Amino acid sequence: MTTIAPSPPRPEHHAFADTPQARARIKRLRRLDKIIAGSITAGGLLIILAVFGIFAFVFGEAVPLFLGSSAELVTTRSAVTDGTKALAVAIDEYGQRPVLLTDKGTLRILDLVGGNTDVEVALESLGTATITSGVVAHESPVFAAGTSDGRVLVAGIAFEPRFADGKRVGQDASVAWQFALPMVDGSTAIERIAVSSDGNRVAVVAAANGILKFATRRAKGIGTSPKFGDAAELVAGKTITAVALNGAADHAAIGFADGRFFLFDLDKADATLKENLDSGSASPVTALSWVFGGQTLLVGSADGRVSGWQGIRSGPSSSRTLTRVREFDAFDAPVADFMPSQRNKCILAAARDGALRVEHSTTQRIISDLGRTGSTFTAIGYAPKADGVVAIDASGTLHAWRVDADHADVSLAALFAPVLYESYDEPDYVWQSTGGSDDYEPKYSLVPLIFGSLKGVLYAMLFSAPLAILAALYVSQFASPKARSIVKPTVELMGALPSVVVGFLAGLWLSPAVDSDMGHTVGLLLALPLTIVLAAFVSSRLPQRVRNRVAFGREVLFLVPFLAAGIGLAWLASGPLEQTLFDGDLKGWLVRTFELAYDPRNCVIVGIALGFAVIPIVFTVAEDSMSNVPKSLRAASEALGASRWQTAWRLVLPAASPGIFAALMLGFGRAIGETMIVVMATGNTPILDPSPFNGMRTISASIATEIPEAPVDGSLYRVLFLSGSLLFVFAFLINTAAEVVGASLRKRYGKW
Amino acid sequence: MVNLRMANESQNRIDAALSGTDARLPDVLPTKGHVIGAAQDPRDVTKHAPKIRIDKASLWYGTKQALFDVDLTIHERSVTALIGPSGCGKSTLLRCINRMNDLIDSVRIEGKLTLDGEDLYHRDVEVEILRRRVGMVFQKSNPFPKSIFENVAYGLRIQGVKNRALLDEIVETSLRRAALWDEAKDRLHESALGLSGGQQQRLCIARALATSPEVLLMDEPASALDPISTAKIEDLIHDLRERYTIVIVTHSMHQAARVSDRTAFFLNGILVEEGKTDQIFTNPQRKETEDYVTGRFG
Repeated sequence: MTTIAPSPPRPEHHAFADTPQARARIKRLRRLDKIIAGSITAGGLLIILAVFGIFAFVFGEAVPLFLGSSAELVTTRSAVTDGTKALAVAIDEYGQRPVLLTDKGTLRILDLVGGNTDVEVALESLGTATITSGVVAHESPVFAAGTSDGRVLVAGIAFEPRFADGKRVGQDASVAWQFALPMVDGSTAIERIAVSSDGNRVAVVAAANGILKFATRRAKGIGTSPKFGDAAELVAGKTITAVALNGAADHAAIGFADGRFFLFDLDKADATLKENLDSGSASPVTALSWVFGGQTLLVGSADGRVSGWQGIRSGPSSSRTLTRVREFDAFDAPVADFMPSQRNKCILAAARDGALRVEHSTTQRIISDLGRTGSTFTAIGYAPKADGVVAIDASGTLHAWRVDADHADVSLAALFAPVLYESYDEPDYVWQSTGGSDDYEPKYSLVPLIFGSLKGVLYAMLFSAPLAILAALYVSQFASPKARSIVKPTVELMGALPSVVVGFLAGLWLSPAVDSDMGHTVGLLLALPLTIVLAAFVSSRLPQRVRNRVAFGREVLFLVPFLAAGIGLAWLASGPLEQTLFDGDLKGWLVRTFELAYDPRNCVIVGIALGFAVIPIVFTVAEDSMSNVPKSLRAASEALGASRWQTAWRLVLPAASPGIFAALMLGFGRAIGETMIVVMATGNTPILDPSPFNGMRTISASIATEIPEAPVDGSLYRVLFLSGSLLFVFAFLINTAAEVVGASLRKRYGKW
Repeated sequence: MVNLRMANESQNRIDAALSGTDARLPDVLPTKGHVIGAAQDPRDVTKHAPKIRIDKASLWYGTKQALFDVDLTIHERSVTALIGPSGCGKSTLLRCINRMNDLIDSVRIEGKLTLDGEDLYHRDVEVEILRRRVGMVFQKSNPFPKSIFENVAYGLRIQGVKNRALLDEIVETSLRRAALWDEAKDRLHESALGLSGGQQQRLCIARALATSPEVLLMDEPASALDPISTAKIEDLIHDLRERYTIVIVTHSMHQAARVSDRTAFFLNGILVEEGKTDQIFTNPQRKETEDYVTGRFG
């Protein structure tokens, strides 16, 4: 017996039924809609935020470069009293223990931080004489004092940090050694004096009443007998107003009251006059000093003018002569003294009216104007780490500033304008961030890097854009479907090739191969396109019945014998041709005829290598946009009697132009950001030369190679971040341009 | 046998213009006013000279046969409608006439198709020349993403016509023949994509007319259009039949009845019956035809 079970009541699910279940379901759906819409919006906003966040971080790292320098007066205290004058001051690297040379013949050791009481050490062997002048060496805390009896007393200070539990708790300062140098006869007082010391060797130049004497001596240990030199006859009859010694103690500069100054070469046994120069001012030369590195000589005059001099070649074969190349903001009063930084090209300059400035020699900028805090400063000192300045005024008050000028080497002008660097003959754009010595001045012009990036991109695009777009046109419009199904994934696979491998091949195989066999390379480069054009011409002359036999998309096979013959002929002929036309040396011929030097790693190589990165992306996007031109449009064109080439040229290319443009922009962006290939194949020479036969250094390659060695928060580090933000800006501009042009092209050619 | 490599008379005028000799433009047919949707009298066109002969044409897509031994004669200055259910081969046959099937891989054709007695599939035929003589209008309007003017001028530019005056005149003539001139004359240089669907289809007809074809193939030209646009297209066909040989594929029996002189009924790749349109619709000889035209299947 079968019973028909009553079917369960079916829920009333009519589409528009106003039931509680239906209402609940609609409510649930709406909620879901909202949640999904909200999360999609949030995701998009997060991406935008992330991009801007990255940019903000990258640019934020570069911002301190432009915040300028700051100087803060941290200490003011009495240093010497009772009318005693401080003649010179030295300070330790922590800015804690200034040591003063006083005109009473003592060294006063102060403590600005710790509670140590001031110590006063008298110079030995001063005897009954008085101190007539005193200076401190720029490179190390070595004082020299001239006496009324014709001697120079030299004293070296030792700074010793004191540690407790592995932490520095204080700084000790003591007089480590002293000696006296009898410079002139006992009745003549030393008037001007300069000292230079690396802490071991001491060189002194002293001027007294028309006499000029030089002396060098080891500070301690063996070989302490001094060597003397004399240049009295050279300065006879002139009033010496300033003397200076460079750090290597092989050159001395002597300034005179008539506004002229001499440059002496001390390398020889006797001082020789190297140059006799006019400071450009008729007033006396009152201050002379070399900037750190010993290349630039600063000349200060009684009229307040400060100029910088460096050796310049006037012609390619002439030797360097000291030339005035820098002019600083003039003081209102006679220039009193210079004190160069021992870290960078900054100098501390004081004038008689109490003006005190930190200036940057290379860019002639005032880094900090410390103002006229006191009366005339009689002694000025620059902390060894260039982070502090001490100065003692005529009343004996010591002022100490903390100076933050970490990025004094960087300015907008240094980044983007030509700068005259030391040992260059004219202003130039130079990127050379590190050098072999401690006194090397980093050169941060971004112009060669920007130029290099754009040059690399230009040659890459010149090489790959026509290839990629024509290949896309061929594959999308002419190739048989089977060929297309092989070619397209292959080209896309090319994009998956690690760029380090491409760079490796380009740098270590292609560039030497091309370099060693240029004749064949050029022969092939010329023969390939010519062969293709010839094949096309021949095929167009074939009778219709022959052409009709070739299956659709198989026409390319026609090229094969031509290419084989062309390549073979080019290979065989280029050797003899190079021999006949270019004397067997195409490279040499290039240099002789066009003055084009051929570097093995050059733009042609880079263009080809970058092409590996650029072609796949341009090809893929362009091919897609051409394939997306509807079949119906192509059919309409062909039904009107257009050949496939006419259809491709007149219909497909314009209709696909927004996509092609986007493809080019994507390729551009890929090329400008590409790093490994350019690191390995460009030679990394930051030069400004449009020649296709030399290399370049791109922004991205600079970042990749230099950031690992750049001290965090240093100038180089921040400049590299700045160049990174420049890349970011480039990418942004390119994308914006692509969007704007693409939109206008889309508007023009519409949507089908 | 190689005349398909040569252009027809109108073509020669264009060529003459290209070569610089003065050329008379093709006359402009006056467009007669028609009552929209009015049924048109089928004419007896068998006394017109045969234009296209299809002789035992068979066609395969790969291994699948789509046409079986089709024999059909299409007369000059006639309208021939090809009707039949979807997939019956009528569009395939239409595309054989201007060799659009060439674009499809794996198509194989047997039999003989001639235009004015010349073999369409002879190995010396240049399809570009053939297609200038046999124009085509597609089911879905497919104007190029260019201006209205450039759409119509496209076929001429393909042939290398640069003479601006000649282009202007042919564009106007073609647009007038396609009954689009009044609507388009003030916006010739605006994008064709801004036209309505019906206007776009008439633009495609004007584009096809601009190269002065002798035969006009129409593949369901009104199937995507509203009734008013359809009526305009049908009026247009009525005007054009005085000058062109028209072959039209249609799914609408009414349309076939309204516009064509002769009708051919296809079923499963076989030409079932061909004859005067009124005879096919009122007195078909074959049962399948009767079933189809009376709406019993399809």
